[in-house]
Amino acid sequence: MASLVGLSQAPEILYLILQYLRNNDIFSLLQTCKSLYPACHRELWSALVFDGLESGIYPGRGIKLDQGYLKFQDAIDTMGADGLGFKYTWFLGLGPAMFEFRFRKLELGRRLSDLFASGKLAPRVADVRFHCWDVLSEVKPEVVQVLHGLKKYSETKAPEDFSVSLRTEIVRSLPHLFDLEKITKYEVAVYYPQGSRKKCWSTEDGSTGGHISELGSLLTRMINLKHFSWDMKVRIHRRNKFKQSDFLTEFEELQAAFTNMQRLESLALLDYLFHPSFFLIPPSTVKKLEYGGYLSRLWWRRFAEYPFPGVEDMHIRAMESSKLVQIPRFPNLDDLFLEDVAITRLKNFTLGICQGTNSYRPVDLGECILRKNTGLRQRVSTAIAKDQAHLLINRAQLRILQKIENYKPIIVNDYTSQFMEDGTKEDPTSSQLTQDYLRILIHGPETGDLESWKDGGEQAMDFAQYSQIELHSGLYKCIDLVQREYTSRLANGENLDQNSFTRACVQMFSKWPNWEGVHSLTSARARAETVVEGYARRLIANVSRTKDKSELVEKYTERFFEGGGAEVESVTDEWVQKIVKRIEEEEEAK
Amino acid sequence: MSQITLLSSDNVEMKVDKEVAERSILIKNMLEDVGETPDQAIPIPNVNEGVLRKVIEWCEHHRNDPPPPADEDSDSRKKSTDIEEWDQKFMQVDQEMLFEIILAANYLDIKPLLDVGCKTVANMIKGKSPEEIRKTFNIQNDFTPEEEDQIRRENEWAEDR
Repeated sequence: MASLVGLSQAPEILYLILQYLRNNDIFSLLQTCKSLYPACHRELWSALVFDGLESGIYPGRGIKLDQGYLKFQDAIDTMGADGLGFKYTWFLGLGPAMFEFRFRKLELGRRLSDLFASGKLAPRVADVRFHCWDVLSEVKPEVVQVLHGLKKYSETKAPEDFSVSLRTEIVRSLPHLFDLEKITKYEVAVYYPQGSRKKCWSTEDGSTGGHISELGSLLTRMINLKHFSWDMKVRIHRRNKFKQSDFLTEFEELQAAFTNMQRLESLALLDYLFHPSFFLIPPSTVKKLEYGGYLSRLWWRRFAEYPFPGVEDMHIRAMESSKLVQIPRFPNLDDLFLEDVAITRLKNFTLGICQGTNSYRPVDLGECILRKNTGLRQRVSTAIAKDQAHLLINRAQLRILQKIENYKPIIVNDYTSQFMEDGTKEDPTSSQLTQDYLRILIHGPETGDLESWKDGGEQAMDFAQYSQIELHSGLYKCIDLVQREYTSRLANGENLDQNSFTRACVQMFSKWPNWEGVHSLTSARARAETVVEGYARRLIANVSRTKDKSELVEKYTERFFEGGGAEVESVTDEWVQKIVKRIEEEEEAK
Repeated sequence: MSQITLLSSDNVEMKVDKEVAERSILIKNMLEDVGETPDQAIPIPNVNEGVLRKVIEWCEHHRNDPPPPADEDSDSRKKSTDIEEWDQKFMQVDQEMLFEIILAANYLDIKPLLDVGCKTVANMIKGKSPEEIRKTFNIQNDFTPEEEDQIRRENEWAEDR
């Protein structure tokens, strides 16, 4: 009769089932009977994963922190390594928890190191992940003794018998910690804010040339690397100020290090490599490519011109705006068109969906890829239509937000003069504001267009900042002069008070508009701003409704998929009408 | 569309579209070796009529499935036990039939069906204590108390507690 126990006669099926189970479930199954025990025992010991905080080394198979580590150690100490299942271990996972201070004290690292040395623990694959702040050469050696043990073990093995997969934030110290020839996967995500960099690199902060060289020479020594991935944890715009030509030699060396790689199959550059315009030509062995991050227009031009021989699989991520410390307020997405690409042999292509309003990528990237790569699978074109729709809707959303922001002064000015004319006038009702705002959102202002209002706004802001400085210093001078005058007058016994001091300052400053007029103007303006601002927030909340957005994306995905097109302006108007309708309905309901 | 005939272990013949039968890599390779569509029934000696009908039902439903994406996420060790709704219902059979389907899928080399079967069994094991697993699968505990204690101590680091 076919049964679970019966499968012990067909262990290959039993192993397939075990693949779907967590450690705890395998442990439970192992205790049920003698027939199931051998396969479960073998499977349990096949992968030892010290990844208590689940950094994703081997989901479900991480040994539970504290208790699990202690029990593991206890099993070694009381039963001896020979009696345990180490002979089945082919995979070893060392997650960040292994290197944290509180777990270092457990001395598990030393025990594992001894097991490597005695040959009792001999994995074929190791996956190591750690944080730069836990592993630094200057800290006590016991922190990294497990890595030193692993390195010695690694040096006794041939590349086909042992490989290391590494994920970390550091570039420095790796030659001391690893047998670089055995690293087949290196995922690095460096920190770039000031002060943190020295933890990632051997050279000091600001030494970009040194960093480029360091990465280049490290990669030259990883001769068996199959996968390389580069990312930045935090990115700031300010540091891009250097010119690519400042480090021409270093960039050439880095390019040469990549070109010489014989075994690299996949390359993921999830952010720009030191400079947004540095286009790295991938080695000819690369089949799978992934790009992301804030890349320059020049980079995209080079991308379009390069044929990528050998590349079959490409994934483009949208820029993740959350990683930016400074986000340009309204980045200009509308105007980068590639028109054509040179790559033709793609079998698979995905575009990470642009979710936010800050996602940045050439507008026609998907279309160009689709046109030139006839071997692409069917689902790719659906995905590209969806991406186009997302891009269009994001641009429309940005457009509406720009309009709300830039037309605000027109309405504020309008109400300011109404309040000035009649101080007893009540605040405008919501339906009045609806009329005023929506008229301008759809039909534009009576004079000028969005661009001129945007430019006007920016210029006026420049003037205001300058005047503020000028007036401030003028007033400060007046106050200073009056203060000196008052010092002597008060010393001479004159009876003076605060009011007279202020009046004296104002008199001196009298070439400017009189204070009373300024006061009523400011309060009228503040009142107008409050009502308009409140309303603008309501509009912005409406533009941010995800339901509207996904409805529009769905509608335009269908349209693009059927080969139709759409303009940002018409979508913007359609969306605004939708908002008008809702606000009107809300008003009526009131 | 051309049809072929399969012969179950209990000698029942079943006609089935060639395209459906070819979800089985074993049959597909066999047909490729022969070259033409054979006139005679292809014997499936390890699978009885009831099980073979279930397997064909699955293949019929999944006849138009795209080929599984080649080595997609191959470096990811995460194994999801999600099963699509139709397959879940399909697998609602008694345990004997469930394991028969798994053995048949293994023999006939129908990887996606084998996966669904294994996931179904895995889902029946998940979160249960040894005693609950024994009850679910009608397993007799043949360990002595000393042996039980020994294997617990060797492996209890794998516990979730």
